[in-house]
Amino acid sequence: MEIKWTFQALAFLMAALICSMPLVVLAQQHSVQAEAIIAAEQDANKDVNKPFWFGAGCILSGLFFLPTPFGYIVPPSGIVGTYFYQPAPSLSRLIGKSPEYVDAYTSTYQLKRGNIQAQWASAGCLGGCLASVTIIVSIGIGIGLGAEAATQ
Amino acid sequence: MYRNALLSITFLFIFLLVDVLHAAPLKTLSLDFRRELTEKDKTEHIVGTLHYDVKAARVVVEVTEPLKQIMVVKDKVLEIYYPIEKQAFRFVSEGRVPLPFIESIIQSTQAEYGLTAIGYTLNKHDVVDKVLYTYWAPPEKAKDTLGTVILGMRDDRLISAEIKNPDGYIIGRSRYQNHSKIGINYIPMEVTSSTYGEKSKVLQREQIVYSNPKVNVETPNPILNFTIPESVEVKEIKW
Repeated sequence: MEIKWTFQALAFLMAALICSMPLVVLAQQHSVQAEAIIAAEQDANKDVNKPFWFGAGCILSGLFFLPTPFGYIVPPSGIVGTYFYQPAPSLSRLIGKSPEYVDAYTSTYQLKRGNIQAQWASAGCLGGCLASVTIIVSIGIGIGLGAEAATQ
Repeated sequence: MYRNALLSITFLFIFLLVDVLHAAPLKTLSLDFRRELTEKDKTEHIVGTLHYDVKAARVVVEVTEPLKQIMVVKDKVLEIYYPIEKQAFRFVSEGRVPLPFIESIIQSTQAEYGLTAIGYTLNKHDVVDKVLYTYWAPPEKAKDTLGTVILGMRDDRLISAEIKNPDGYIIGRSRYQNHSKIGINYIPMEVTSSTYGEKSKVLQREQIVYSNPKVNVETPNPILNFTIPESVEVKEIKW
């Protein structure tokens, strides 16, 4: 009876070990991918020249003054374009890395870089629009005050 | 007397021949490398061999540790092949792909570190402890994104490079040591680089040690013509 129980316990242990092997491999792959994703996000954040994309957004906001329909088309297209401009990451990042790492790193880097660029360009565009509106309103108020003073 | 003269001439001829051979232009270069990269208290080691075909402007990086990987860079295409996993990637870039490792080796052999070619101009220079320091200003149209570069030269060898951001803070520093005369150039066999973040915090430290240089070998390593086997499915990504 005792031998039977021992045998069953050992068989169960063996089965558990065999079943856990793929899970261990899967967990390792996930940890490699997680590491690649974190590194890609950090590198993309570091590599994007944020003042440049903010400035590009400001310039795009000025294009709202283009004649219709270009004024409605060009600035949004420009913002979308900033997302799709995705230069290559540094190659030194891929040397000695596993295929899972390379795959996860490159796809995340591209997405993240596009996102950050589009975000900063949008912020610049919004900032430019607000500045333009402020200037136009100020000029309007100035002209109004001037005209009022002239009539008095 | 005659024998002495003959011996002297023979030695002179050998010296001249060696000198001529060393002065021959670089055609192929092969170097073993060991790279140690420390980032966020984590250090990784990569060991491999670098093969460079100057005429074809083709670089093959053969990694042996921590895994087997073959990386081929030519013009706008980078290919990565894993011989054990039988997996491959092909990255097609719109611009020229910078050549890994070799770029810094080529630059270190040039007097201006290749800076004039990309629009940098010499601002000033001074000599401290027999080291000539040259200060290079970035091109006018890139002054918002690039800063000054300071190079240190001693005995015609580049020994240090310092890169600043437009605000004048150091963002990168490299030290070149153990120069070896390969062809007509002095190649640093040890390159130590650090990149800095805000408040001069070290973000990354990299040390590359080169060894076993082979120049213009008569039968170049066949890996210089490596292509991914046709049976392997290649994942192509456009940049």
